[in-house]
Amino acid sequence: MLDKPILLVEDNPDDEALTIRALKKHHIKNEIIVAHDGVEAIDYLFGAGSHAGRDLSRMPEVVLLDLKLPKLDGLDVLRKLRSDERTKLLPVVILTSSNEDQDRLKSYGLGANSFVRKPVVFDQFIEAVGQLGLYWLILNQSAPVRPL
Amino acid sequence: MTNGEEEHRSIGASRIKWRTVIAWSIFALSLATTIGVWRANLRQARERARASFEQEIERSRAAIRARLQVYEDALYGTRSVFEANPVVTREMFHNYVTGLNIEERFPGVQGIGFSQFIPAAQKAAHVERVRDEGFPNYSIRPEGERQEYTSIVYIEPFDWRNQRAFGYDMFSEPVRRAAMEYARDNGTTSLSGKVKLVQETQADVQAGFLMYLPLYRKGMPAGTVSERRAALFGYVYSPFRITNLMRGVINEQSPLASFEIFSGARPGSESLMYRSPELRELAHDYGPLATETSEIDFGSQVWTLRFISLPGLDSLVRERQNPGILPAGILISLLLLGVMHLLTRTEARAVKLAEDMTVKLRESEEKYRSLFELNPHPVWVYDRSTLQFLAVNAAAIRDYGYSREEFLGMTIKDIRPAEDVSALLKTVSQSHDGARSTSTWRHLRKNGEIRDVEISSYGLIFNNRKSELVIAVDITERKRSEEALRQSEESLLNLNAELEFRNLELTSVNNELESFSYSVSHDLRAPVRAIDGFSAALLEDCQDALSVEGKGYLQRVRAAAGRMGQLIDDLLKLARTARSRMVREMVDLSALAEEIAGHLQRSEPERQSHFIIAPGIMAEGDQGLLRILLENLLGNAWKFTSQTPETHIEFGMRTKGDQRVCFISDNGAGFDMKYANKLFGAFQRLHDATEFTGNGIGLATVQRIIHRHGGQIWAEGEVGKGATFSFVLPGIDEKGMLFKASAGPEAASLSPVNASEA
Repeated sequence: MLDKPILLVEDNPDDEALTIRALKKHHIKNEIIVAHDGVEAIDYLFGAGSHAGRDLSRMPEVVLLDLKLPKLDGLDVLRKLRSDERTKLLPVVILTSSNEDQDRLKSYGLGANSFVRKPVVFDQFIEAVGQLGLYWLILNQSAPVRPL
Repeated sequence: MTNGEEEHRSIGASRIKWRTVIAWSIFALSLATTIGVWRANLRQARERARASFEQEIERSRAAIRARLQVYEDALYGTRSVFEANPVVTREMFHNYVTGLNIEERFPGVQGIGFSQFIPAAQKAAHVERVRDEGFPNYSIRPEGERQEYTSIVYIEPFDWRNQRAFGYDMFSEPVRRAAMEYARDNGTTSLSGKVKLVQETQADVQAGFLMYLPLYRKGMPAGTVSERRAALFGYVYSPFRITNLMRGVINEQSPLASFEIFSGARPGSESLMYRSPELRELAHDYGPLATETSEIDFGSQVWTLRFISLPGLDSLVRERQNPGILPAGILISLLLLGVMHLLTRTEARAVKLAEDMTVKLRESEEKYRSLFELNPHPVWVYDRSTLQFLAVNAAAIRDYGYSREEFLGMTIKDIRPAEDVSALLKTVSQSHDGARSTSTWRHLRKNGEIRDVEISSYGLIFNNRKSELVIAVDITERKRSEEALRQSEESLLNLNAELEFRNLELTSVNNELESFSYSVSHDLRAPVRAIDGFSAALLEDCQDALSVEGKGYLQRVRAAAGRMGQLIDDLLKLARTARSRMVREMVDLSALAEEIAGHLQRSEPERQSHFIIAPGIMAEGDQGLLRILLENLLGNAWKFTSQTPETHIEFGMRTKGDQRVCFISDNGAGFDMKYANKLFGAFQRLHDATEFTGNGIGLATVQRIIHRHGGQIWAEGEVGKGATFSFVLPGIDEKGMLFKASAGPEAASLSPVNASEA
């Protein structure tokens, strides 16, 4: 389990740093791959663009996906993942500042596995990210990865 | 009814009376004519019958005369026997009479005889001589001594009946003697009056008479009466039984008339000699149609014949009469009367009908005249060729200002502005007979005012002129209001366009607000999170390098960041209450309050708290917004009672007048009523942040929700004694009660906080 990375899709470097810090605080050792926009996230997942030739058998354990992203926003990325056989069952956690009902509804509607709001207060943030990691990386049994 | 009508009626009635009189007169005339014709016919028939009757009389008279003439001739014949022979013996007489064959040729005569004149001196010799002839019983009868005698010496046929007369002295009997003396004195035949023949027996007694012819002695002069008297030898004579005689006279009985014969000029039962069997057979009460008395003068004797018509004459009259005259005439008269009556009645009906029609026509005319005259719109009739007004109504006179006389001296051109006249003439010349047309014109009044009118016209014949009936409806006001309406419609359209524009603007503003809110929620939080996050990292990673004071500053930075985060969240909530779409439904406020109270109690289980929540309070509104409302109000109450040893919070409902008011009261910190109007403003706080947390957005949100529901909210409180928040919502009700609350003046008197004040 530990060999699978976590894909963090986050354009805000502050949030990126804080998220990684929070994960580390909870002793999550998985490699954390950061994509700074939607396109990069897609490229990584399907081995395209700057990630061309990547070993696609090594898919992330979980994708932490921000909604507000440059180029391709979070919901578009989610839609793409869910429409492709290879990523259809990939756990995706929406991690966002938004607390809009609309965003939550759309995310679940497109097949997000979880929706977590980034708290403003750092302690709560660490707590939330920690819980996330604990659940998705340790407790959750992912769907078996089919060879491509 | 007017006098004219009455007069009219009386004329009709008198005419009908006259008709009736004429009808009856004609009937009477016709009837009279019928009777006249009938009577003339009857008279003619009677006259003809009378003629036949008289003819019959003549025939009978002639027959009687002729018959007696025959007997007279027979007597003359017999006398000539005496004159031709010196002596006529009984045998000669017998032979002569037998030769006459009287029974065959002279029916009715009893016989022919010879009566010899015998002076008294010769009587005895005479008797002697006859007795010698072989009649020993012969004597002259009646016995007695007389100066002169006559005796029937010969009588043939000498049968038993005639033998009764043998020797009878006819001089002895006055009637016979009178006739005999007349014959002796005049030398002619004579007839006797009515006698009873000596030949008569008891059976079949008939009246009788005798005919005498005198015989004078040969060689003796007989020129004078005395000479004849002196020369008298005797008489040849014939006795007649009259009934038998008449059988011979009347060979064939006429059906028309029959007769009686009276001896002498005076008819009477004494003198009655003969009555025909037909008369005897007549009914006792038979009224003859005609009678005629005529005499036959035989010189010595007059017979009176009374002719009496028989039923045959009546039949003749009837035959001669036209039986159809009377019934036909009466029938015709009645028919005439009927026809006249029918005519009269028909005329009466026609007259009645005409009168009724006249009345109706007058009424109808009055009706239509009033339709014309009293029409509220100006109406007139004008001549199509001269364009002259022929009639105008009161409304026209009133509206146009011309008198009726002025109008009738004008043409329709005179009520048009000069510039419209050519168009008018064109229109009039193009209009068709009887066609209806409607058009709009400008009319000029006497006072110079020009009005818009709608003209409806219709061609008609008026007083034998081709005319046009016109109704003018003044549409000036209508046109004005139409114009005003058009203008207001236009401005409404403009307003609408503006509204639409504003709406568009509002929508775009809303959209901007939406994206703004989204940005706030998403982007505004990120730097705050970064501030807090990195402050926390700094505190953790560099705690050795930081002084106590520095750590304290960083703590403040973090606290501020936390408040900022809360502030952003609350602002977003406030924005969301304003723009979310409302779904109205009945919401159980009591149940919501219970739920929220439960949450609050569980969040701080260590607090001594009591919630009193009245059950079944319902309101009409958006479930989500009402939940936020109660969360805020109950949360507030919970917050401000946090420093009270024992928390009492009540949610309930009370009635103010006819209004249901919900309230949430607490026994918390309360507030000064001075600031009541600031309570619901955003970011307004009445308490120190160190005392009670909060950013002053909650009550602003509450008020916004209340206003969005069309309700009102106000607060009462006292420092240290708690606060009561009261609100009115539409459809607030207790379960099972049908009561719709509405914001009223009473609520306003409780100094509600208006949105404009907030």
